[in-house]
Amino acid sequence: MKGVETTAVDIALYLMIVFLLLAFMSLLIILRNRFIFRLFIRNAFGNRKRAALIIAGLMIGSAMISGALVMRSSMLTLSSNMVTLSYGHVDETITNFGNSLYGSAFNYSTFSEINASVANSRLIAGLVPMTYLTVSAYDNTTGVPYDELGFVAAPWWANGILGNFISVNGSEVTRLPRGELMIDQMAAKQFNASPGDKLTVYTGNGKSYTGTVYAVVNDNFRGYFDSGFNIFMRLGDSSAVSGTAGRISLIAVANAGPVLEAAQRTDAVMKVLNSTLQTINTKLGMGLAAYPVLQDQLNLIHSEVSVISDLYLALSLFAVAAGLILVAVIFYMLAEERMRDLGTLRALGVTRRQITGGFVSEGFIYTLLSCFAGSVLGVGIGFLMTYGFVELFGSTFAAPVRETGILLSSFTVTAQDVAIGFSAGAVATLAIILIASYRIGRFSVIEAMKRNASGGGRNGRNAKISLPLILLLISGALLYSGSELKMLEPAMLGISMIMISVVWLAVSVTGADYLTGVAGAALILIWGIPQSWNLFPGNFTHSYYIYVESGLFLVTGGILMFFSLEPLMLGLIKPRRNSGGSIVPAIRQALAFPTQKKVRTAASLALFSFVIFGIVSVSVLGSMINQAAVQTVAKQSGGYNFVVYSGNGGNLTSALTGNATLTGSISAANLIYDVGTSFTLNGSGSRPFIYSLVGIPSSGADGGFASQNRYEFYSYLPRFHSPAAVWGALKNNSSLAVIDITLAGISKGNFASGAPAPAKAALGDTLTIYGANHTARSVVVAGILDEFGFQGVFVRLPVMSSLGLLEPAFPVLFIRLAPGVSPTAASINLRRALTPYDPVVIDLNLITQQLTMDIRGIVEMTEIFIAMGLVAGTAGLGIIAMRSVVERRQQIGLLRAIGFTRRMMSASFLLEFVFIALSGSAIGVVMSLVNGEVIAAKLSYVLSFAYSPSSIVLLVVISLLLTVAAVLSSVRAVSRIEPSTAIRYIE
Amino acid sequence: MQEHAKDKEYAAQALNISKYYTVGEERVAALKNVTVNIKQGDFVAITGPSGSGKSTLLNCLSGLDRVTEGEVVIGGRTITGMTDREISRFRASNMGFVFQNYALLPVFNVAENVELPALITGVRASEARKMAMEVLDFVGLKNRFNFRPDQLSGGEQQRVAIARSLINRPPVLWADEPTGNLDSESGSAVLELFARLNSEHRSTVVVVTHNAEVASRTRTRIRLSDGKITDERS
Ligand SMILES: Nc1ncnc2c1ncn2[C@@H]1O[C@H](COP(=O)(O)OP(=O)(O)O)[C@@H](O)[C@H]1O
Ligand SMILES: [Mg+2]
Repeated sequence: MKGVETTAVDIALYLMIVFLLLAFMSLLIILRNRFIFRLFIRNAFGNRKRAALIIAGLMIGSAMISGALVMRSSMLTLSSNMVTLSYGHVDETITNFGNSLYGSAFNYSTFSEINASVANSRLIAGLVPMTYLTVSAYDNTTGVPYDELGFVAAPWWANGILGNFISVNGSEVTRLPRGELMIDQMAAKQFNASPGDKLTVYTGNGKSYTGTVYAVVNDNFRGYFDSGFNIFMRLGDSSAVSGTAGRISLIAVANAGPVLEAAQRTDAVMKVLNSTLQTINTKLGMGLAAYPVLQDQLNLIHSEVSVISDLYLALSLFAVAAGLILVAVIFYMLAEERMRDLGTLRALGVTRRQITGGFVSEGFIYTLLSCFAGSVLGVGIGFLMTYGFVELFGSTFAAPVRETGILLSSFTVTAQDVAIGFSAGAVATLAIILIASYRIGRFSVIEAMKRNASGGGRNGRNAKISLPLILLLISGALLYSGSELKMLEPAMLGISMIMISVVWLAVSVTGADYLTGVAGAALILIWGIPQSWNLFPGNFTHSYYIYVESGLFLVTGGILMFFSLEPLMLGLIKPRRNSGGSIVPAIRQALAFPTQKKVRTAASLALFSFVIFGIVSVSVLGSMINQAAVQTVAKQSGGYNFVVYSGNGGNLTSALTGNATLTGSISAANLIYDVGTSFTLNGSGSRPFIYSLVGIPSSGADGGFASQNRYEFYSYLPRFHSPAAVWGALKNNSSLAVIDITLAGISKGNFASGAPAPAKAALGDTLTIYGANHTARSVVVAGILDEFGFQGVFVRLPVMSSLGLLEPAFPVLFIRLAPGVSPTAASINLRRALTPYDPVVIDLNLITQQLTMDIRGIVEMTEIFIAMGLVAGTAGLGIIAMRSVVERRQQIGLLRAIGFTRRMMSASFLLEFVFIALSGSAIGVVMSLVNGEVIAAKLSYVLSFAYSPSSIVLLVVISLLLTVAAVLSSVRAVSRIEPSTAIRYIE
Repeated sequence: MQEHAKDKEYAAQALNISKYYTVGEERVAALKNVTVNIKQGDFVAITGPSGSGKSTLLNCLSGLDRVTEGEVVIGGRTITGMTDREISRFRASNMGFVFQNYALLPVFNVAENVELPALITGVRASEARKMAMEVLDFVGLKNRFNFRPDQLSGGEQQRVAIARSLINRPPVLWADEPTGNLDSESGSAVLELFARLNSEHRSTVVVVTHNAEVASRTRTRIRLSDGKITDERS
């Protein structure tokens, strides 16, 4: 975490230094030629509308970069706050045979022993003995029931270590009468409860306890413990609820120091705890383990935030690229427009360098304004995106966020985020401006005065041949290094660039323009047909960047092909004879212009097609991932609809069979037992690891889990001839086990990042399971399941009970609905039937729905984020349109003079730009679909092709509307041109 | 050394210059082995039919364009040996230009257009404005100083262009068809200005024209045809 921040500061610093250098250079140039500067500034702001478009187009890059960074900082702060909120001063937890929060109960004396042995450590502020259970409760006063509550019992003296409870009215809760309860804000809201209410708590062991609510406490880091919805009680009174007097289930460890700082001592504290626990485990035959809960959560959530913000940063670089194309277009166009004036200035004695300086100073002003506006806008974007993500994942963490105003206080704008956004945009823009200005400065005075120079100094024949030759050399080198490194990216890049440079060379020599179309088609073929990668041997590696590369070249291919297809289209639209008043000439005219100004058209096509490509690709990928996710959940579910956890399982099955509302709707209800314990792989000398042990009852009225689950096997020992044979053997043989794919190390699955990595077990390996009271048993891995939804080492139940692990184990009920039964209705009935047993009901249908919604949410937010890049494309077309009106004034006047109506003129003008926008969009859409097909083909084992046509249509419509809005004023200007003035007009 | 001394009495010299343009595959000769010596203080007309190379010659002589072959000497130095910066500086302080299309900057008003060359050579803004008003007075447009170019007639625009060309009191004045876009009355007024400059300020004036009347008022006439000098008389 510290490393990340240091690099961010470094980057900000470097960028700032480069920016200041460039700014200093620009200022020197400006100061030395103040009158040139005045001239250019006057030019720049003489046309306010255009200046606004330019600034809008240029600011998008900065806005997106700083937006992504601000979002990143805010989400990091927010997540740290959330984690702090969850655990407060609790940095580590200790449980016995369990996971980080739940385990089997143990004696209070064990706590005393641990406490005594770490008492001298200055790293630790204190240890707190707790009982932590999941319970259900019923508010007798309001009549509201609720399950999935946390029951947190700690001695009152723990406040000195973990901090005080704060009541909702803001005051500290200084005492809690014996036998009374406190609830947190979220639980109170759920129950509609207030102090004085009578609350009955069910623990699922058949017992219940009714107590008075003494206070409602804030969801600060004491009240929110783990995830809110808590009931608090004094530890001394808690046996009334837990039923285990003199025993606790959890030890909370608080490191020394303020909350987030304390978390950084976790590694050292874990060492201390581990050595203590090892001694005690050996002595007492217990399964005590310490978990770095706070740090795990921080790491997990920070890595999730980083993944998302990195993605957004990458996507914003893409808008920066679009912005740079725009800068180049704008500057060449400005140069073209002013060529005559520039020629005059040169004739009057202005040096080339001063002209360059003039452009630099103008660009400098644009850059300052736009990047400043952009980075400020980015702060807003960052906030909206943070807000969007919180809204999106509201179910997991937004409730306390909204209730405690953490979102607002977490919103973080650091100077370095804004500085990076500003200077990254500014450096890139200024660099392009310096290059463009230098090239613009090299025009010929005479040609400029005649107004037929196209700006940017025409290259001689030598340059025309030498440039592609240089490119050819570079591509050759890329291809070579790609084959040496056995990497597909540089190799394919080399091949593509070789094709481009060869065609470029051929066009320069022969002047046969249609060859560019051939190059385009070749690029599309090479990248669009997945099999073409087989050009390279199978041992070539590649990363996901290959798909970015393929997108780049597919779109480039599309743009190149556009220029050879357009004349064909023109040929199709032939004016019919005797078609007086026909619109056909106007259409032809509109479609003919783009090919005449190739660079300009290519740039506008690129601006549109790349952005659209980005958006549609995200949408296509989203559809594919969603499809895959839904399929994965289906596969991970083992063909079950619900998974029910309960502290009291014995009666779960009978509760279901005895329930009338559920009769006939359940086709399978399979009970198994789950407990966390330690294992070693292939001999006791290896490092022990904690994992789930799953006990499967050998029999059952319905045949049980072993015969009814629909999990698929990844592999099993060859002596078994079918999956059923594996399960059948497991039911009767205490020396066999089946493991999930995570433990086989084949898929990472959702294994918690902080826990020690489990060993990689293979078929035939021996796993030793350690139980209570120094017991241990060994099993052989007979099969590996192709799932990680339910992790564990599956053994027959007698193995678990012989290890003394059945008592601490959690019963888990797998329920499959009968065909045709609505999961929604069944879910309600199921919960009703099971409430007295304090269940946690996992609804796999709901998970699938939630997953789909989450994916759609992320995809839509990402689309909106990239779509901001459309502003660059639209601004580009707007500027080109303004330029075109001026440029063609005479021509338009002439056409008007020979009989074109006002309407025809403006229609043809509008059509021209709509045509470019549509073509650009079409290239983007088609190529992203092609790229999606390629990705699906390459990753066919996880993804298959899918897309959502409606969102694509919507996108194209939006981009068209934006285009029309941007060129509308120019279209009106066209219709106002009078034949007489136009003919007289000399630009 | 002697040759160098000889150069000094010329405002500009073209020594056996040729200029070729490449259009597609073809090489077009705009000037073929032309030698011209423009004396200090002379009033020269370059005449000839359209396309004969008049503008090309003027552009090459004034350093606006580079020759393909031969040598151009201005201010006693070959321009092939000068950097862009040197030529530009030399042009700013020693030459004035007047073009057929006036070439005024549309975003500036009259005074701002006129003071531009002074500002280029580093004159302070207030001083430049004073100089601009003087030359505007000289061309009779002092009261129009605040007009924008598009608010003036063609003749007036050309007089502004002349005022601009005069502001630095350049020893040499180049004019390419200065009366080409003007009616005869405005044209005469412009020509009158050139004549006065030449006689009163001893400026060298070189005018490209195909107007016989203009040519008749100059001291030296160079006639071009097909890129070659066919006649030269003083
Ligand atoms: N930029 C150019 N490219 C090609 N040919 C040119 C160019 N400029 C001038 N020429 C050719 O050079 C010849 C002389 O042109 P110019 O000096 O402008 O003639 P004039 O001023 O006498 O009318 C003409 O034949 C013209 O076509
Ligand atoms: Mg001419």
